[in-house]
Amino acid sequence: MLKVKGLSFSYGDFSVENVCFEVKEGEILTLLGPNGSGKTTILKNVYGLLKPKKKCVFIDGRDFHSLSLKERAKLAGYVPQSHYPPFPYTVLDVVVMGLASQLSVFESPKDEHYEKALEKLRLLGMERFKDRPYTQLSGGQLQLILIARALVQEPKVLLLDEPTAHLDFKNQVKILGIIKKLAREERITAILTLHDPNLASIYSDKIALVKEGRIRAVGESSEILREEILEEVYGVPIHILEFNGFRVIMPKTEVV
Amino acid sequence: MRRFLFLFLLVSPIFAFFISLFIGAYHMPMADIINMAFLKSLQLISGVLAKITLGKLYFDVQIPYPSVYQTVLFKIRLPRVLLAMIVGSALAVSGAVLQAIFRNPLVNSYILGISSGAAFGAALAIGLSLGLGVTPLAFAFALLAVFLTTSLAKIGGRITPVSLILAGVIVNAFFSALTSLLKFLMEHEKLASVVYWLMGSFANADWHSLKVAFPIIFAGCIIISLMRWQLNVLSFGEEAKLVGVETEKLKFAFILIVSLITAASVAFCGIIGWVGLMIPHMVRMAFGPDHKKLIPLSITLGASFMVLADTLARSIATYEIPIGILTTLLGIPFFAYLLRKTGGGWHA
Repeated sequence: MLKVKGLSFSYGDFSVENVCFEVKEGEILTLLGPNGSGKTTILKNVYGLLKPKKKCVFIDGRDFHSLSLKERAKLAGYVPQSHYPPFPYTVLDVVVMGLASQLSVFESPKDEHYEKALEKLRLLGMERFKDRPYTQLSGGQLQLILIARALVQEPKVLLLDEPTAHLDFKNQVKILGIIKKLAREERITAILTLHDPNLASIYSDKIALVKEGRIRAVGESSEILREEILEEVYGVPIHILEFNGFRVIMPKTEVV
Repeated sequence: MRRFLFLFLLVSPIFAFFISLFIGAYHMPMADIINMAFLKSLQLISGVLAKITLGKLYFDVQIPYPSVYQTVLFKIRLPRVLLAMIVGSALAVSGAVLQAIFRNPLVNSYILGISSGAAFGAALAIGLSLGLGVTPLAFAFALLAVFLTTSLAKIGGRITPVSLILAGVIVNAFFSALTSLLKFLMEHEKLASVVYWLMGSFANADWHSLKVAFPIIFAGCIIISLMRWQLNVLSFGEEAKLVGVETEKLKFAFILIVSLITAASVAFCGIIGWVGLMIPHMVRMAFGPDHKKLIPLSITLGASFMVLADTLARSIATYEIPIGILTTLLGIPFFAYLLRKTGGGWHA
């Protein structure tokens, strides 16, 4: 479905070298790694927001970056780390912006477009927020609205940049549960970046461990999440426990 | 209630138009004005019909009023009222557009250097006694200033909000210094007319200025209205690319249109402050930030506000008050009140 082949990029001293991975339809791949390892940079390069050195991203065999922004938006949705716009648009106004790729520059959205946006809000259980100012939402609600905006594009692929950043435990679980559901039920292929190896282990089909702009290891969660690899990537001593078939990653501490 | 206010503001220019047509330093009875306007329309229609049917006059309309009435109404007051309306629309809609694309609620078209460029052009024309050259030179230097600002702001192929504002400051400072130098070197009578022009006024409005300004501003407002929803998306900055919008091309198109319509306004009436900042904010505070409503309402409210302000400017005293001073004096208290009451309306 989506293939990244030898993605390289550099900006100043920072560089991403030879990133390769593949995701099948309906699979979730997580880019996992410490702060500053280059997860977000890789994600932006995959979408083409940053320009990689050569063509390297293929969706169903097509060179993704040769497409216009409009065509890209129809194929793939990108959920950025949220920040506020300068004006307090309503939630519905924000979600309907996902349809920009389907409208000409001289068109404004009509009832049918607002209906589509409402449908996605309903899917995520956010319909009652439709008239709220976007700038007054909590972090979890904001994340859901941005996902709704991406879903309105009817994408095959969803790229999510730190969807659990700044969220409490309940909202982290909720958001990742929704992504999992979208992958299983709507056959959406998802690539996301995460900080927490445990959440990555529970919710992803594949994990790519990122360290200093390189992929240290990539594959099924069970093969990748091993003590020696994680210790090398994160630089702290780590224990892995087995629980109900899941791997639980714990830091080794002397204090406890 | 809100729906009613929305519709009222949308048609308000019609009321504003008639109110300002009825009021003026030269007093004429309201009934006479209505009568003359009606007869003049008939005359125009018959003229058009005659042209279509190759010179055959279907009905001949005479206007039985003194010629001074006709001159005041049709040669002085009417073009002035119309010019004030389109200039008000142009300045208000320009402010709304620029605030969205630069994601900055405090921006208006003057930060692009338009005003100081135009001011320099006008001062140059007055200083060199070019007479008719004031408008073309103001226009040319306004566009030159925008070109300088945007090319100075372009760093690595991109214009950021901060670089644009800084470039605007530089270009404004440059042209202001040149204008000051000109003023310093100028004779007294000329200096007076430069200062007067800089304060902004519709006193020189005539059919010629309308012929130039109207098509530019009208076309600009139509295009902006058609593209208005894109402003919602553009105000999200880089995120706009994620939903498939070619942000750079679109911003360039908007800046070009805004520069043209602002230059067309400034060239004929000098610098009239605050309208571009105040009108979009007033609309946003009442109807929210969605550009689907904001743009049409900025156009109509801008027209109504400007023409009523100009009516005041030419009728409250025996001499004319420069409208630039009046818009600022009228605008500031209202703006201050709204700001205190709503907390700005552009932040959470």
